[in-house]
Amino acid sequence: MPTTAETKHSNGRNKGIFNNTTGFSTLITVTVLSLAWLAGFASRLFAVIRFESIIHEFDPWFNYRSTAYMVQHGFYNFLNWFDERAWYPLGRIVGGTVYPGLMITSGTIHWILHTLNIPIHIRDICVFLAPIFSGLTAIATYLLTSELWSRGAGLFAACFIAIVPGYSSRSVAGSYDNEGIAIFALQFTYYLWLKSIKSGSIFWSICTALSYFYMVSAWGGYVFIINLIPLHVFVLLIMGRFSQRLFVSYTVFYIIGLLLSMQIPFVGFQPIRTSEHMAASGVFALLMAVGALKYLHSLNPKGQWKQLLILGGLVAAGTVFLAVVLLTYMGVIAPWSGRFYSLWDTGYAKIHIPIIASVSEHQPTTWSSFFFDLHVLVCTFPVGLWYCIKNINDERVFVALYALSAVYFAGVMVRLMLTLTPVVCVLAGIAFSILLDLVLKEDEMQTAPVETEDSKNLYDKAGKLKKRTPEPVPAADSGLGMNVRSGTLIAFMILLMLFSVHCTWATSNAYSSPSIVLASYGNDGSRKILDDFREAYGWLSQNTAEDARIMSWWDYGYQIAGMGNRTTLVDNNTWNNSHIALVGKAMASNESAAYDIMTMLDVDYVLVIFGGAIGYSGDDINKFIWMVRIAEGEHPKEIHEADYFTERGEYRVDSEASKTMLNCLMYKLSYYRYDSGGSPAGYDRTRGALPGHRGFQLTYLEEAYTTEHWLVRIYRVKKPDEFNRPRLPLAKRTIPTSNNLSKKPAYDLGPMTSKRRKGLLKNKPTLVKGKKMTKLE
Amino acid sequence: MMPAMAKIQVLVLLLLYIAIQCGSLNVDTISSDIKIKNVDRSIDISSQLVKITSKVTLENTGKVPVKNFLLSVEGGAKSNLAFISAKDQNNKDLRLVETTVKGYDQVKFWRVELKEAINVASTAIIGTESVYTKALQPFPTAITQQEDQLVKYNGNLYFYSPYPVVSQKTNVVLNTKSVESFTKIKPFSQQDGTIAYGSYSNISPFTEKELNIHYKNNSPFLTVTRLARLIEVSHWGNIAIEETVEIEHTGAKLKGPFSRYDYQQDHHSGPASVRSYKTFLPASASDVYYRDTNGNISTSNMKVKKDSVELDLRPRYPLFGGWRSHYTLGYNVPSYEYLYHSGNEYLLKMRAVDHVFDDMQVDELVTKIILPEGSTNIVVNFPFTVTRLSDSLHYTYLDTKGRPVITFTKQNVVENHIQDFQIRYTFPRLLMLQEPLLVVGFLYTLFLCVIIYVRLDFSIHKPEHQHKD
Amino acid sequence: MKYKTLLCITVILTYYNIDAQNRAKGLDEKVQQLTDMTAKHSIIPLNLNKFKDFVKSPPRDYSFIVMFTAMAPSRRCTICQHVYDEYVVVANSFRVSPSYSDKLFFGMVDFDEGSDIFQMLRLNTAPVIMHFPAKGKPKPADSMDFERAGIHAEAIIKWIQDRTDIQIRVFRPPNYSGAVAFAMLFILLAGFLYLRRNNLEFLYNKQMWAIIAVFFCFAMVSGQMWNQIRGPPFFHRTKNGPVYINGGSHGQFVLESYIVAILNGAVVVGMILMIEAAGGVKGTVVAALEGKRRRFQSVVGLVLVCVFFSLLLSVFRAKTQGYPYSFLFK
Repeated sequence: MPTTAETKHSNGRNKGIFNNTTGFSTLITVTVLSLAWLAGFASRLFAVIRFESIIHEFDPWFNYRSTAYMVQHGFYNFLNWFDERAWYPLGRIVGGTVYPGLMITSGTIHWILHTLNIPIHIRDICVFLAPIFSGLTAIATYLLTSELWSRGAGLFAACFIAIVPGYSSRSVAGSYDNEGIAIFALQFTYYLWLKSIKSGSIFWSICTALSYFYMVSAWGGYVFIINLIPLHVFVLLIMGRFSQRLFVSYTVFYIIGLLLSMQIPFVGFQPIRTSEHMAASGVFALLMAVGALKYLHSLNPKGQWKQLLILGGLVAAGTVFLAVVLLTYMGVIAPWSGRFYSLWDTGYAKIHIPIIASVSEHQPTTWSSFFFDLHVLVCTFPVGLWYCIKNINDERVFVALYALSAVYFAGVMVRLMLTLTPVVCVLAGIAFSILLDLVLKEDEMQTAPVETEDSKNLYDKAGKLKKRTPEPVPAADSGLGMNVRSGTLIAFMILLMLFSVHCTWATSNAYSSPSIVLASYGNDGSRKILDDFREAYGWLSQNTAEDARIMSWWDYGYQIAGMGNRTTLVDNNTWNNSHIALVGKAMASNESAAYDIMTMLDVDYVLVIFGGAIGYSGDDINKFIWMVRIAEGEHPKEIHEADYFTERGEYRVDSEASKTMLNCLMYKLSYYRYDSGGSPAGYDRTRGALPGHRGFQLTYLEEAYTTEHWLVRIYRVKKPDEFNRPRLPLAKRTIPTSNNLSKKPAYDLGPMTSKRRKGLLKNKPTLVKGKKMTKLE
Repeated sequence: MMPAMAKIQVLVLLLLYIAIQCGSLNVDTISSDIKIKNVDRSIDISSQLVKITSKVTLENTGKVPVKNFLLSVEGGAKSNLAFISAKDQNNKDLRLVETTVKGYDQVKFWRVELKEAINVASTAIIGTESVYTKALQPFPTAITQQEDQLVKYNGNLYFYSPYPVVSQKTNVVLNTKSVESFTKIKPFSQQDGTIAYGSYSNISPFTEKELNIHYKNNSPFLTVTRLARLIEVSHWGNIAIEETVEIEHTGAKLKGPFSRYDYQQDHHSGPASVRSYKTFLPASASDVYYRDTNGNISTSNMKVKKDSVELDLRPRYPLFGGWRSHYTLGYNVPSYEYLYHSGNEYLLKMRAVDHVFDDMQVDELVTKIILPEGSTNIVVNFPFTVTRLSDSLHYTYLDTKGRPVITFTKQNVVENHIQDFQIRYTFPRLLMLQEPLLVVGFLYTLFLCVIIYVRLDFSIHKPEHQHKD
Repeated sequence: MKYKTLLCITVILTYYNIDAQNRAKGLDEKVQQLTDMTAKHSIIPLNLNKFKDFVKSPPRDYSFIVMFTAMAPSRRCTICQHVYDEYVVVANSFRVSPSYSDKLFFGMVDFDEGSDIFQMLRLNTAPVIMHFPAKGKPKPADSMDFERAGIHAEAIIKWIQDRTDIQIRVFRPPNYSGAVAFAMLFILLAGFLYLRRNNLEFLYNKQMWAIIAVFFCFAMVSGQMWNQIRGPPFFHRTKNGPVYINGGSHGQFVLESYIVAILNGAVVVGMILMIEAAGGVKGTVVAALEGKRRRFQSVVGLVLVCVFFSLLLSVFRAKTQGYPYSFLFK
């Protein structure tokens, strides 16, 4: 019933479009889309214009580094790349632990350009990849929405997604990360899925599988697709909307998508071994069963087929479910991984996975960040949802499910706002286009006003705000009077305009600072650039030994590897908790204990971030409590979080602070000979306190370099003969053997010591290694 | 006409080469009838270089006019010698030809071809200048952050010459009073910043007497370990120059920690360190950029003067002894100042090496010149002897068959080498139309495709047709 | 007079008896008693004497965890109840845990029984959990602070492990309430469906589904999930009146989120009104309405949209520092 109404409606609309020539509407569409692309691209360039064309904060540096590696050494070497510069002494198999889609994409672009003799540096390609893909995302969203509702809605949605902060937050120029291209892949996959489920043609479903393959290669979020599409199918089954089209499209998509997704080394056998993927296969089996039942029924159309069908369906579902549960218990299928589990049991991560909990973007979402990222869309997309459900059909079921699941996930994790944004744009676009269609019904040009608004938005977004209220259109008959129409128009014009200026503001103020170059503004508006990070990394890359090993907290691992080109102990892919805990323990324990750990890990330099001189709040002392927690998780004997707080449980660094705090390595390295910065001398601007323990000397380390604003401090770990320990001869005897032999045994000893014997680092590992070697020889 | 000119060029070049060849081959003898009446020598060791300028009064005591004479450099110092030249009274450059003398294999000789011969019993005054790099040894070799940098110079107290010297004076310029020790051979005198030796009389040929000076020298000891200079010529009125500089502080190494605190407290801290230095670019240089592999180096500023553009370059971090840094400096200059042409014949006149900082010393210089695509019969001539590397091709925007690249390299370069090289080549001007045509053609096809796409585009209506289920 | 002497005598006698008992009590005896009491119920209620005997008086080789609380409803100490529940969980799980020994005992002092103990320890807040180590005086770290650690049994056990290296694994009595509720719901649903089995049309009622979906969206978008995880106060009471809107953009109050949900809802309703007034999606439904009514309806919708959206905007503006834009209201 609704579907027929839908067709009537769409025909009615088509009449509106088709009395212009095809070329005209196409022209409008192309213009709007290209303008959307342009606006999306332009609104993401704030960082490049303010600073320079540079890769942003942390993960992008790794992506950039591996992309450069791939461009230099070729794809297969990249897949086999064992990066001994990371996670010393463990190393990291990069090819097997990344989603290569990003690197392949930019590498392909680079290759094409260079075959055309256009020598663009790979860095620039990486910087501008995300903004370019935002345009593609807009087009994909347009296609998706016009599949769902109408082309007008599609144009709206395209313009929304082009500039909405929720998406540009992850795709400004320079933030070279998976999400930038993944959202395009997501939208395009969904578009193709709807195509295939509409047409039921194998061609489209194969296209869906291919696009899904691209998504898998690009982002871990592909799990969202492989759970949402089966959910869609399942709900359709429940609604009794089974059809041959559904059968064909899903089965083809599932099989091919499965096979393709298993080609990604990082994914490997997960699609058949982990619970995250089981929904898909379960639905596949269920679909098969239902299809079989249908077929049986088609053999004898008479008889109790309805009950049979329902019963059979239920039985099939039950069996599938039981089978999955059973397999999980037997351990054939891995249970939910912590990151996914923390989506359902929201308190899970806080207790069990401090590393996940420590990341700020894994926190739940307040309404204000919803509003910040979506603005007017946040209170208009329910309208679109409303009408989608009111006039339901197969693909609108899909968009409803998409919206509901995405909005739930976004509520749980700020980061997943990214998956919510596209569907919100789609639905809001639908809502706006419904309303404006109706309001502008009298004059038969329907898309034209839509187009003007869009392009106006685009101009707004591009920067200059033209206040051009559209001329009210003369109403032919008195449906609702012309005043109402024009009033409505103007009001919504203003809303859209507010939206666009909000987007520009949000993108420029919140999302486009490359966090490795800080800018401070004097009260005369003059800008001062604090370039300390690159200063320090530049120093590392030039003035330390080629194989020097730098110990720092994991946030800076990728940057040290990317800009400093030196070996790091831990970095931003936090795959080895115990190793990180070891570094945390070194930072948290006192100097001599830390020295033992550092010698065990062959650390040459220690790098700490200290914002006290310029009031930079994201420095290591503020992160320190997480280091303590993570260290305590692995070494509960040595590290007690309580010791780092004052009696009254406050976290402070001044004279009130606890002894342990004042004597731990992190504290000493941060405040060593720190006397500049504000008055009184040695005043910590970030904590707003005078450090409690000052004028101390370092025994085991010496200051190697400190950047101009004290932001980055690098210390050199002294060799044992450089400081006179009480038992110098012993050290002289043991350490050299460990030093020149530690390379090899470190590869098999390092992890063992850090994993198995948790707290037993006190005994000198050098001796152990020494013995081992003598045995070996 | 033009080919003829080209031929002449080739000929000249050929002759020049031949001359140099036999020059290096040929063997001279020390003529006994030349005698040096007076030498007035000044050794400037106030910077990291050793610059010796001496005024030599030659006397011809023989029977025949002398057309040339020999300059010589001690065997110990010849490896450090970067540059040597000679001028006559009216300040004309004289041609020097390397040569050897039997029995003096260690010594390095140059034959100076005089413009007009010295007649019998008459004299001529010749000014010679020579520059030595790495002749000053820091001693002690490692100092802490606060200490001053002390260096040792040891050279020859006497003017080293194959001829007897009647009388000579030597002025050593230090620009500092704090001298640890220096050779004391009477007569000598020490005024502020200079030590004057002499005059000594009747020194026989090839006498060496050690001259040692150990003194404070905080002037920047910066060495450009490698300077890659890339010159890209475009006939659209622009020449792009990019210099990749690897620089190292070759003074006394930094011993012990670096303390930012001390470094901030007083600016006399780290006296031997280099905070920044000045680079002079040609006055017409525009859109200058200064970056390294991690992006822009934001600590630098630029002053445009009327005869040059002065860049005040600050490395990301101050350079202490033994610390390295590297950067890329690029700018554009209008081509009309350096590129001359008549018809299809073009002449490019540019500096083989340009100013990096005062008293610079460059270990290795590599200069590449990228000529426009399609330029043929290229003739190069260099101001000084260089080793020319094999030519190559370079592909960039809208190139089809690649641009010819001329590459040459030279070791041990100092400021005196800032001289022009010349490249002559032929470039049919019609080729300039090639690139615009390419662009036009591309755009044309692009629009054609778009037109066709728009005409054939039904994909947008399809969904609405098959919207029913 | 006689009576008085008698009375004194008895008093003295009794006192002596108690005293004698106390002195007589050796270590093992005390431990014995304690184990018995623990066997009865895992938390030993303490009054002054018991407290003196078991906790204060020297011959001890066991450490004592004591919770000082005020359970009496008259005290109106809501948190005490929660802490007590968790504390019970800890004590029970210690009893069943493998590391169960007579080296650790759990006690509890209620203010109404042992107010003098409170005075003795100069406690003026409840609840407090203190640890009395086997030897030496309790250090400041021996009293647990709930602000940082929280009141969960896990936290308490962690703290206990810090103080006395005794490992306890949390063993919560399985909480069936959730499961029961779920089962009830399920049964209700099934029964309902069964009753309505002859006409299941209402399942196809799109209105209902749409409303459910839209409400879910409101709930999520207004940050109910954040409330559920972070548990903020309903609203904030300050000396100058209550505050409904959290100043920072990183926090929110429960009431605030409700307000926001209502604002969103109003905007949505307004927009739907306008659409329906303008003829709805199908263009046929509300054609019956005559012009005036439609006009009125759509004007109402327009006003709803504008007013409530600008309200939303101004609330947002109040939370976000330096947000420049606003509409209708400042």
